[in-house]
Amino acid sequence: MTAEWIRFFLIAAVLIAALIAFTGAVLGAWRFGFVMNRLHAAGIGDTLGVLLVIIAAVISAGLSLESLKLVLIAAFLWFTSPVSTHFVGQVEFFTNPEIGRFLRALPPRGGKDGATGAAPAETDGGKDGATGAVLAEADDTKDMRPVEAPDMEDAKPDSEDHDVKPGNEGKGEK
Amino acid sequence: MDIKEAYQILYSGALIALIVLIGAMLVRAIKGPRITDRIMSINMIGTMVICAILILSQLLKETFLIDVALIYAMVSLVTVLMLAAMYIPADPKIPDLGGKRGAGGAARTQRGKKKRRSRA
Repeated sequence: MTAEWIRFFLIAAVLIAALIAFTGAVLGAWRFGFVMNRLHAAGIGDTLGVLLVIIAAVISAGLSLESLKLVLIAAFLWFTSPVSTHFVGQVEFFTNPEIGRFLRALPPRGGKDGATGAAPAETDGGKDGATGAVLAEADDTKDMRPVEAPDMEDAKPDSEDHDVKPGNEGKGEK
Repeated sequence: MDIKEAYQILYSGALIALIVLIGAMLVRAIKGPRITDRIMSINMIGTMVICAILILSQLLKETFLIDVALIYAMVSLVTVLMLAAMYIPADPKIPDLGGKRGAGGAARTQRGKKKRRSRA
């Protein structure tokens, strides 16, 4: 009898943790102002929430064919969630005309000097991909576009205004 | 308290909480200013419905609901991928990112437009 209750409380704890994870995902989807940030929040529910629910179900079901299928669902969701997130991000990247206002390159790691600070592997790897080139280009002396820009020198560095200022934030009422 | 009652209360409470969260994401899908917000909300609704089905399978002690959840996961993936693929242009262009740090996008939009190049 006591073992049954221990199992019950184990299931209850894991389920409540899963619900907390889902609540965090939904809260993030409401509080963030931009789709890329919301996708980040949605990843919590897609991975941690599903994992915890399936752990609860496996504890409840015991070791059987049933729990094998549950693990299969978890594996499937873990493999497909990054795929769908990547696709949604691609849609946003290619259809939002103001995407440049939201994305920014990271400052070079070693401070102001881009030649020594930026990791060479990052800049090399960024040359071949469309989104990767934009996001990984950290050199201060280069233009952010992967296309060779001859007029990159006259681009004034914007000293402030680094913050992401979404213009279309859904003001979270939660 | 009987343990069956306790399980009933636990699973029913979890289902009710999930329903509230699904409703919140549905409102997000309706309000979402862009199409990507809606697709993301649909994705999350699908995930939470899968979890609700799994909890229901434990509540009702029905094994076949797990198969239903597996099929639902596959259909949800296809839904999101098709919705996304419909909006990705066939000849995608690298958008103008407005120079360094991506801060002043509006100022340099004109110059960037000429440099757009399709992905290799």
